[in-house]
Amino acid sequence: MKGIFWNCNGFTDHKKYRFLSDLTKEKNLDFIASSETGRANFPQSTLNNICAGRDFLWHCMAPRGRSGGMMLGINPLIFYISQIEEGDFFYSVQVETQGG
Amino acid sequence: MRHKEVDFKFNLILVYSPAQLDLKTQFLSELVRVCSKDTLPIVIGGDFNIIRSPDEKNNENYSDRWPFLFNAVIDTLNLRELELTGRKFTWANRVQNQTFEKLDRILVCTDFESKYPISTVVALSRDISDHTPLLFSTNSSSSTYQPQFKFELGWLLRDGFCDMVRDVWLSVIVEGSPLERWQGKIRRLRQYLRGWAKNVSGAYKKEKKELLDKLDELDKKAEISLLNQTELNLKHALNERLAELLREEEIKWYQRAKVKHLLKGDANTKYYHLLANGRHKKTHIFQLEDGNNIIEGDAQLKQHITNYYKNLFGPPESSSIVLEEHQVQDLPQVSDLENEFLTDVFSESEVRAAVFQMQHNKAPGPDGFPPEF
Repeated sequence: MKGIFWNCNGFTDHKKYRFLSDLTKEKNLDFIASSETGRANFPQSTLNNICAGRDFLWHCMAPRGRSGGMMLGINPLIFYISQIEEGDFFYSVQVETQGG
Repeated sequence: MRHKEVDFKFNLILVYSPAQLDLKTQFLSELVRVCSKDTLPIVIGGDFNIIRSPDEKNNENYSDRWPFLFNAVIDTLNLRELELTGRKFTWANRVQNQTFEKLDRILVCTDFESKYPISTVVALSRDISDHTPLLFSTNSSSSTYQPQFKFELGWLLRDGFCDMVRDVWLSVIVEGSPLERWQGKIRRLRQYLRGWAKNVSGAYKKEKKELLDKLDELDKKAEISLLNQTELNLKHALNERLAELLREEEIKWYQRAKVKHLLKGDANTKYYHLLANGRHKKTHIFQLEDGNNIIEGDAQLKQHITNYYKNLFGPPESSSIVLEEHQVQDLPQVSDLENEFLTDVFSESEVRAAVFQMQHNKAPGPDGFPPEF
């Protein structure tokens, strides 16, 4: 199981998309957890791009004020997601690993 | 090892703590609430915006208030931080005199750690954000290799172990100098013990399970009716044998953990276990920098390290400087008496003194035998 935690300091430019999609491919990531995205949601095409075309399940949380915003992408082939909880400063996901 | 991944349930938590001081209390109380809500194992990572100690910052501007609270929260929740490799700090601001801090981290609970004992966190490069991305990996499909032989201290406790070693020791007859004889004998013993240990540890696991099953059965019976005398004796004997087995297991982990401040006999297998895993994680090499090249991957790393040490300790390049043997007047000389002393044959008492001054449970030499042996 592999994943990345990253405070990306605003998800605005292409360099950051590229960085994540390259990393997903290179390291074979199973989840991407990013904070301070600064946006409430992203178009599906962008999300598809970030996980290098894999079928990740995405959850986004809107920022409060100027900073904040979180984004969590999970590979459903590796994890079975049973519960999601959104807090003021948290994203908590209950997952179960699956073979494969 | 795929099957290990199946059906393991845990909570994956992403955090982003506010930078504003007045929101930090709220953050910490929410942290406690989320982590103690249910009993599932936890992996929690992200930007906590609080450092844990003064050395997680590059300047002296340090206040103990939030670190103290944060550490208290981590301790009460039974969390452990995964050691970060590759970098010391994870955040830097963009002003002239840069401040570096370690604000991002990944914490796991002990249950998760025992499930994935060699989990690691690597810091990647920080060029497009002010925070470093943290790459988390459980390393569950790590490469297998033939483990190096290691003499377990627990073996010395076993019945008949000394006799067995003596038999093997005497069974080998090697011609030649004492040193060759020693080498031959120790090699044979190592081979023998390797095979023996494999056999025994299998038998050990089986015996432990049988003992536990029998004890369980007796326990259940005792709940319904009183046990008669023979059953009581049996239970007693079983308990004793189990304690013996556990003690041996504990010593094994004690040796791996290399802690000095606890004595043999403290029942702390889990503690040693975690420490030993921590050591294992710390000694893992991810990448090396060679000039401007970065070397990654197990195979390349192995090659690079071998070459490096070959160059360092291998035969030197031939040089034109020659030592002239007869020009010795200007050098301080070893007197004849001292010379005699230096070239003297090692006496038995000297060897004995050298062997017995070695401390217990220190790293064994390449032959895998510790001083206790």
